[in-house]
Order: sequence, then C-alpha cells, then structure tokens
Amino acid sequence: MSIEFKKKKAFFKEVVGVEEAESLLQWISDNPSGKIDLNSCTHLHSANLQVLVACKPFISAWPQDASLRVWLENSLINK
Amino acid sequence: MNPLLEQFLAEAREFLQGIGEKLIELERTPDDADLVNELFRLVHTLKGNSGLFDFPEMIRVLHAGEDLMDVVRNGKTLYSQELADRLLDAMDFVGLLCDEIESGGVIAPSRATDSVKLVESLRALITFHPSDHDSAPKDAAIGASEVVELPSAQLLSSIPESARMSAYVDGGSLYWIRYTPISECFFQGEDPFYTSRRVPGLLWGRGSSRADWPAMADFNAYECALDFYVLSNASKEELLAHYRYVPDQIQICAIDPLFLVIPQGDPNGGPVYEDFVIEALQLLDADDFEGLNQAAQTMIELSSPDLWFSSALRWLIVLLQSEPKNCSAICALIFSLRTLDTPNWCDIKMESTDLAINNDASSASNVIELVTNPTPANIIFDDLSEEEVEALEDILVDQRQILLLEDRPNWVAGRWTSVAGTLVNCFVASGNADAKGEIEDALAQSIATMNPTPLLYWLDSRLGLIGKESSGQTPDSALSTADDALYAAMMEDSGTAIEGTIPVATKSQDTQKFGKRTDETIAAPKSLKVDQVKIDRLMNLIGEMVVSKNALPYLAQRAEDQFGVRELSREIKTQYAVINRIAEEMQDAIMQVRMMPVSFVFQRFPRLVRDISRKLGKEVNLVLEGEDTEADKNIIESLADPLIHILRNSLDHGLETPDIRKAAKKPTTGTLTIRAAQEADQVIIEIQDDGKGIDPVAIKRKAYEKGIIDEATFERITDAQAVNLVFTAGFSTAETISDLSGRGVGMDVVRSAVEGVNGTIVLDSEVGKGTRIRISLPLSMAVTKVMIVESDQQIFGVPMDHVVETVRVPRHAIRAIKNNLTTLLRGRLIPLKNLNALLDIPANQLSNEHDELAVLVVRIGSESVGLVVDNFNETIDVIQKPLDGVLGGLSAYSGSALMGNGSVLMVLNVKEIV
Repeated sequence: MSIEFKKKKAFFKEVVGVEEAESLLQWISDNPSGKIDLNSCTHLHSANLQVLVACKPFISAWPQDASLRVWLENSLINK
Repeated sequence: MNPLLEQFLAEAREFLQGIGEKLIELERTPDDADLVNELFRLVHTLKGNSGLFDFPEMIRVLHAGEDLMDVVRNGKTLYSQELADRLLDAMDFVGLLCDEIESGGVIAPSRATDSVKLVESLRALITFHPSDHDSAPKDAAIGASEVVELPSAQLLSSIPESARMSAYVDGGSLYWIRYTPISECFFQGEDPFYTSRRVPGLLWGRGSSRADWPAMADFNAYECALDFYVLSNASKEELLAHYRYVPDQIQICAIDPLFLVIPQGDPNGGPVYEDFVIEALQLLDADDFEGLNQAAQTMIELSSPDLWFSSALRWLIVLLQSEPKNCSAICALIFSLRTLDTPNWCDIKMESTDLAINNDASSASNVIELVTNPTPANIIFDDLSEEEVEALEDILVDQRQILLLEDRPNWVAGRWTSVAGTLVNCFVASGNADAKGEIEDALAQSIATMNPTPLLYWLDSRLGLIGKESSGQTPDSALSTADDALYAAMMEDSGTAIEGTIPVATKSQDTQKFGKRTDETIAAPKSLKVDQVKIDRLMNLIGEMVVSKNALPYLAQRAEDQFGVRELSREIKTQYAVINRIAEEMQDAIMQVRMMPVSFVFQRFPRLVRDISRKLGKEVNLVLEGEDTEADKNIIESLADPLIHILRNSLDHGLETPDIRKAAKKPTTGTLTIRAAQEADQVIIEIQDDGKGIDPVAIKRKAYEKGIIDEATFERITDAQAVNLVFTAGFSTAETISDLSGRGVGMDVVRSAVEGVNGTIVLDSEVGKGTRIRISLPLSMAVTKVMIVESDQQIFGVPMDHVVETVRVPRHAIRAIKNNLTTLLRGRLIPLKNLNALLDIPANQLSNEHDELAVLVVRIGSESVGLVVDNFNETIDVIQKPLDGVLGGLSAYSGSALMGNGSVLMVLNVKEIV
C-alpha cells in the first residue's frame, strides 16, 4: 500500500515505498499545514522518513507498530 | 552448490594463480606493458565473474584491485614491490573467500572488515601517487572512515534515560553504530532505515539529518542525507554480518555501559546539594550502600522528577544496585552533584582499571604513562610565557602523580596537604587566586573521606581532563577502531598503542592471515576439466578388462587339453593377441590422461620462495628445471607438501643471509635449484641449494642427545648416514622455533609422505657447499608389477620394487646364528626368514629335488632380507586394490589383485611382515 492523500491529511498505509517520497514532498509543500496519519503504517522507506525529518509536518497519529513508533519518535521529536 | 558456482570457484582459482604468476613476472620486468594489460584483464574478468554471485566482500576487493591495475596500466602509478605485496594479499584473501564458499557456502561476517582494510590499502596506492592529479578514482576516499569517534555525550544523552538505564542494567557489550549511507543509495535499491530497523540486538535507534536541510524547493527527496544511529547489544560479528553490504558506510564503536550514565534535567538554580554530597560520601566511605540507597530514595521522593539532581540520584541507585564495587564511579557521580556536570567516565574508567592493575602489584609505569598522556594544554594562563606554562604544567602533572600513588601511609593526609599547598601556590602565582578556596574544599573532603579523588577531580578539571565530552578526539582513542575494549587495550599495551596506528600499519597481521594461502594444498588442476571420479572409473574398467582378457589364455589351454580342439585353441590365442594389444594401449592412454607435469606443483614455488626469502631477509634465485616431466596425478599431488617442507628448510636453515654469504666468499644471492627428470620408470626430483650445508658431526651429536641413536651407532655411523638422520621423527637442529621450521616435525613427515607413494628420499650434503635432496618416485601407482611366489600351495604377490633377486640356496649353505637363519650370498651375510613362519602357516618350506630352497631377496630400506618360499612364479602387472572392511586391519597385506583365472592374489606388505 502507499500514501493516501486527503485534503488535510496524508494517510500512510502499511509499507510505504521509495517512490512515494516525491509526491509526499510535493504534498507537504502544497499543504504546509497538512497532517500526517501514520496509524496503519508498518514501514516507510528512508526517503519518506527523510522528508518527514526535513519538513517536520505535524504528526496526528503515530504508528500502531511499536518498534516503528519508537524509531519515528526518536527521529522526529527528539531533536 | 549449483554448477555455476562450482565452475566459478574452479575458474577463480585459475585466475588467482594466473594473477600471482603475472605479478611475480612483473617483478622481474616491471616495464612490460603487455604483462600489465594481461594482469588487468585477469583481475577485471575475475571481478566480472564474481558479480554473478552474492559475495560483496569479494567484489569489493577485486574492484579495488581492478582500479589499481587500471591506474598502473595507464602509467599513473608505477609498479612497485609494495603494490605487488598488497595485490597478492588481496588475491590471497579472495582465494580464502573461495575456500570458505566452497566448504560452507557462505563467507564469515568478519571478512567484511578485512575486505574494507584491503580495499583501503589498495586504494591508498592509487591516491598516494603524486602524479595522479586527474579525476581517476575520486571515490578512493570511500572506506576511509576507519577512525571511529566515540559518540559524544550529547549524542548519547539524546537517548531517553529509561532506554539508557535498561541498556546499562542489561550490561554486556554495547555497540554504538553510526551508519552514513551514501547519498545515491536510494538508487541502488537500498533502504537504510529498513536496514537499521533490522539491526540485531537493537536497543535504541534514530535517524537524523547529516546537515541542515536545504529550503524545501531545493530539497531532493532521493538524495539520502540521513544518518542512522543505533545502540545495540549484539556481538560485533552479528553487527558486521548485518552491515556486510555497506561496511564502508558504518562506524561501529564499543562503548562502556558507564558512558550511558548521563544525568539530565533541570539544574534548578545550580548546585545546592552539598549536605547530601557530604552525607553520601560518608555513607560510601562506611561501605553503607544500603544507607546510601535509602538516602537517595528519600531525596528522590522529595525532589521533582524533572530535576537534574533527581536524574543523577536515579542513576546513583542503578549504579549501587548493579555494580556496588565500582566506588570510583559512584563517588564521581556523587561529586557531580556539586557541579551538575556529567562525570567524565573516560577518566573514571581508566582509574578503576588502574587500580585493578596495581593491585596485582604490576608496574606503575602504566599509570604514569596514562596520566601524563593527556597533555594538560587546556589550562588557561593568559599572562604567562610559554616556558612558564610548560613548567607549571610539569608541576601539576607531578602533583597528579603524587595523588595517584597507591600506598596509604598514615601520614597520607600530610602528603595531600602538601599537594594542595603546591597547587594553591601554583594557581595563585599564575593569577587564579579564586582557586584557593576550591582546592582547600577538595582537600578537606579528601582528608575526611581518606580518598584523594576530590582533589584529583578538581585537578583534572583544571588540567582539562574533565569537561571534555569524552576522549573521542584524542588520537589514542581512535584506536578503538581495531579494538573493542578500548580501555582494556590501552591498559595492556599503552606503550605500543599510543604510537598512532593507522589501518595500513595493521598490514602485518593481514599478511599473516592471508599469507598462509601459499602453504595450502593445491586446488583442482589446470588441464583436467573432467571430474577425476570419471577418470578413476575408466581406470577401474580397464583394470577389469585386463583381468578378463588374461582369462583367454587359460581358455585356450582348456580347449586344447580338455577338448582336444587345437584349431580353436589357436584362434582364441590370435584373438587374445589382438585384444591384449588394444587393452594395453587403452591402459596406456588412460594412464596418460592421469599424467600431469610436475610444473603443477612447481608453479607455486616462485611465490613461496619470494615470500619466505623476503621474510627472512635472504636473497634467493630460484631455478626450476624439467617442469614438463610427467607423472601420475596422485603422485604429483602427494609431492606438493613434502616439497614445500624441503623448500622451507632450505630457505630457513640452508641458505645464509647475504652478509654471511659475502663473508664466506660466495655470491650474495643464493641459488635454489629444483630439478625434475624421468629415469626409467621413476621420476627423480632434486632440490639443491648452495647454502651452508649440514654438519654431520652436529647432526650425530644432536641425534645422540635426543636418544635417536645409541653410542655404538654414534661411533660407527658414516657422515652420509648421519646427515640422513634428519629424516628421523622428532629431529630438529634449529635452536629456536620459528614459524617456518624448527619444530622437528618436518623431515620425517616428508619421508613418510614420499614413502607413502612408494618413493625414496636421500639427502647428501657438504658443509659450506650446500645440500641436495633427491626424491625418486614411481611414474604411476595404478599398475603394480608383482612377482608371484608360492608357499604352502598358496600364491602371494611381492611388489617388484622390493625384489632384489631370486636365488636357490642349498640347504647346507644355510647357517643358524642363535635362532636366526642366515646365508652367505656373494660375500654378504643375508638373514633368512621363512614366509610360512612369518604368516603363521604351520608348514615347513619345501625344497626342490636338489634340496635347494627358493630364496627371494628383498630390500627393505637399506637392508636386504631373504624370504624363503616354496617356489617362484612369473611376474605380472596387477591393479592392486586396497583391502577394506574387516580385511583393512591386516597390515601383512598391502592389497589384493584379481588374476586372469579368476583367483585372488594377496599382495604382501613386505615391510610389515619382516
């Protein structure tokens, strides 16, 4: 699965592949106040992670996957 | 293993052999452009082939080798011995990998680091050359990240306290990994985040930006700019295995769990906990850990959990629980409450190790070295001249050493007071008057606790030893690259370690690791592309054919005798002649297939001689002659190890160093000749050196000392016999054992290996002139010529190699000396043995009508023995089969063979029965 872009929110589903990074970056730059929902995400490719780290969008929901959540929290919050 | 891989391995070995040969040739003619091209082509092809498989280590090394050869080919770097050495090392490494793949199908994870080291040493040659301006290998810097920095306290402190605490409590080896993926990695299908998430033993990890992010418009999502940091408690091997595809992009660093002890939080107006510190120190001094624990608990309950103080107390409790013995750590943590600075665990660690070492009453020099090692350059004395600063530093370092003294005389307080006095004077004189109060406080504490740590701590903070995050930037800690136990290693060999090891300097270890390659048994032959099993099968079939063919004459005989059909008998005989001719030719042809030139073994010698002679500092010219002499494959293969032993002995003991040779008026370069030739049905191999030769007197004495010969033999033995004593088991004349020879297991192994294929070995030597070893071997082992003898109506085979002659001896010419029968044969006394008696057959030997006994004179070693049998029959060629199953245990027979009439012939093992 991939990212589902809504008006205000981007929903990450399961494994988000490398090819999504471009559109994610585009979406964030188009919607600077857009929120990210990672609830059902199980893994995202480094390229996507990089976009999230760089653009620091608001994360409205953290992943259910505990190990991914810890990684993302460490990487995105713990600056 | 799939056939493709099998073929690759076989080819890879050929390539490696070829590369080795070319390199050594190139050593002689370094300007030969064709040779360089050829060499490049070989490395290039091998790299291309290896790309078919999943062996990143191999590809990496070969790729670096290829780049290097490319540079050499384009004349940008000159060929040098150094270059040859490194390339040979690299090729040995590849060979080693091939072996590993062949035996286990996988490459050991630790090879990844080896490969990175090799790649670096190869790349270093590319970049170091001054004329190499242009673009060539810009990526040469890859893998240069060997110097691993200890993670800074800041980085470590970004790990949440709870995670650090659980990691600390779990203990074990902790590794801090920094993974810096190359920026194009996304295009290579890598997902560094995924790799990082999968790290074994993951305790904590995060991705973080390498630099500031560019504006969003310039930001390229597909250019990796993330670094990944991971804390793991897996073993280093596991980690290396995990990162085996990107060894050049990671830094692995062992960290001590103590480094995780970093209190954090709100300082809340600065250090105001003096009461607690004093109380805690007193409790600690009284070894009242329980009390200390309770005091800390109480303080925690009273304080807000977000405070730095609370965090430190939490750690204090953890420390008390997990390692109450580590007083210096606990003490340092308590002291840190004064300053609200994280203790410098580097120092604490060193000191505690110091203590441990000195308790064993070992040298105090370790301490001094470590203590003086961090240059106290950080003291700020603005208005002093350079000289004065230096003098002051000397004084301070001396004071520090005094504080570190281990003895505790009852006047120790006086000692500390005087140290404190000196310090006060120094600092006041240098314009730091405010230090006076601090020093006096520290002194009071030291005396109160009978522990110099407070003073030491204060001094260290002034000397600049504390407050630096960790010693990550000092050159000596860069060593941790190679060594996990940073501190342990520093303590053990602080002397050598501090010299600043760079990766290239570890080459000697590598050489040893991969250099063994030349000593190993040889890989599959060059010309024999057919599986040897198939040839062996052909061999067996032709053997059976020879046997069944031999049945035809019997058949002809029967046709004539039993049925009286002479015509038929003659026809059978004619047919037999035809079949016989074809069978013999066929047998010959199959033998030819199994034949291979001795060059198969010889080809490795140039490299071997080169390596060993360089190691020993000797100059040796190797001359090979008669390389195309052929012999059976098994024989050639069995020759490899003995020859290497002999060669090493010659190089190590025989040939002298250039100085000694010059003094003996010989050319400085020694000559080692290996000659192969065919003589009748024997292959003769001679190894001759013009070294110092073997002194028979020394050998005799040594042999006598070791109890190999008795006194009588000592007197009687000739010089020629004496030098051959080196073949006796357990004999070694070398005074010291080197890694080359001198363990006394060499020459007897050589002899048994040669005798194992029915060969003989003789040594002759002249003192000062040199030594010659002569090995003679049968051409083929497949067909054995045996003489058939009869005894008690049974037939036995005796290998013709042993047979000297057959004689008929009249019974009256046999004399009994004590219980032994002997006879005089052409003036020589020959001991006689009855075959029946030897085989435990209860019958007397029969004589012929003239009362003569049949005596088969056989040679065993240098002795002749007469075997008394009933009768002699013809000699025949047989294909001897070793006995197996229950018969395998019978040492009296060396094997069995099938006769033409279908009967089984037992071939005697003459050596065993006599």
